[in-house]
Amino acid sequence: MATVDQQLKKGVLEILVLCIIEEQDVYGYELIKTLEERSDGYFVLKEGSLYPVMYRLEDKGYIESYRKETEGKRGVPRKYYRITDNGRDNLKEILVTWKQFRDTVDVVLKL
Amino acid sequence: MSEKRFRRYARDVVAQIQCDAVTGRRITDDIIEMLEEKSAIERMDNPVGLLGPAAELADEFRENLGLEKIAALPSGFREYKSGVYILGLPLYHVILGNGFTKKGAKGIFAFGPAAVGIVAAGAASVGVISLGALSVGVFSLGGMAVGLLAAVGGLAVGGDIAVGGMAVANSLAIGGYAVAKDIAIGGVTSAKLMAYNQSYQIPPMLDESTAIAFRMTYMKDFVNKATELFPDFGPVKKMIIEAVRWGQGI
Repeated sequence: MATVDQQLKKGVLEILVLCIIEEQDVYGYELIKTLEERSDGYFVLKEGSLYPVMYRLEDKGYIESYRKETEGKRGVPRKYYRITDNGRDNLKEILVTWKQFRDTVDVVLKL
Repeated sequence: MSEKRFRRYARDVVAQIQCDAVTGRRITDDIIEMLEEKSAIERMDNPVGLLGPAAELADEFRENLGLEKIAALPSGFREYKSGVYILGLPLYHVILGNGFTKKGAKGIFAFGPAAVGIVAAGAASVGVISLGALSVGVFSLGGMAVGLLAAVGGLAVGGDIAVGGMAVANSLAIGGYAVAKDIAIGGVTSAKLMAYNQSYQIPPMLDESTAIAFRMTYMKDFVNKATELFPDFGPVKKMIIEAVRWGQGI
């Protein structure tokens, strides 16, 4: 049974991932690290949590992946994710909903 | 070298997730890519050290993909399932471990304490081709084998052909104790036409004038009689009879 903390994290993961990808194209490992750094280690994402989110976003058409040659150690092109126009529109809507949700919860909780 | 290890690890994870083939390929590629990234940064090529045990990662994927939780196997058992499905069955499903578990292996190729598949092997198995201590199928081989067409085993019951310690078949039975409607070959026999070593019994539905018995030493005559009485015997059965004759050196 997931804890409240885990459930809340899971609930906002799609928004956070979409938000990071909207700023710049990222690859999987980079996304995990960015999320970890920005949240001061609060969001330590594992691969089994990250990729299902990416699959859902890709299947909904909010993000798409492409391969890009990289310098250095790796011989194979890296898989990057970028946001689509559809994803950008969706993110705008989600952020409005999120603000409304957060404000309402804060009011109810008297925070 | 590490590429092979990464691929093997990824396949192990996917086999335990038990998802469709497309998702399986997606996950395999992503796990390998993540392993390569982490391996380059952390200077380590042990996949378990980089991403944790395959079973744990598979559980996490399953949970986040919204897949049903798989019934847990008792400790000491391991399970491998192909991500490739044909006719709704995984290409292979293997359950390994000591003892018995209620969970059966089910696949095109199934192997486990209890196995059901097109080709099934296990302590108890059911399949088109079935091998096991107790096997039931179209073609069965096992300690106790029941085959819709053919069975080979300690106790073999075959719809058409049976070969074994005790063999019972409709058409052709060969064994220590062989019982058939048409032909029986063995130590003790009972059939319309028999080749026996020790003794024979006339089947209850026949009388002595319609049942014919030959001692094994007269196999040549037995084969001639078989050809005369059963001209429609298929090539496989003819071949088996010839093989027995050849085995007797007659």
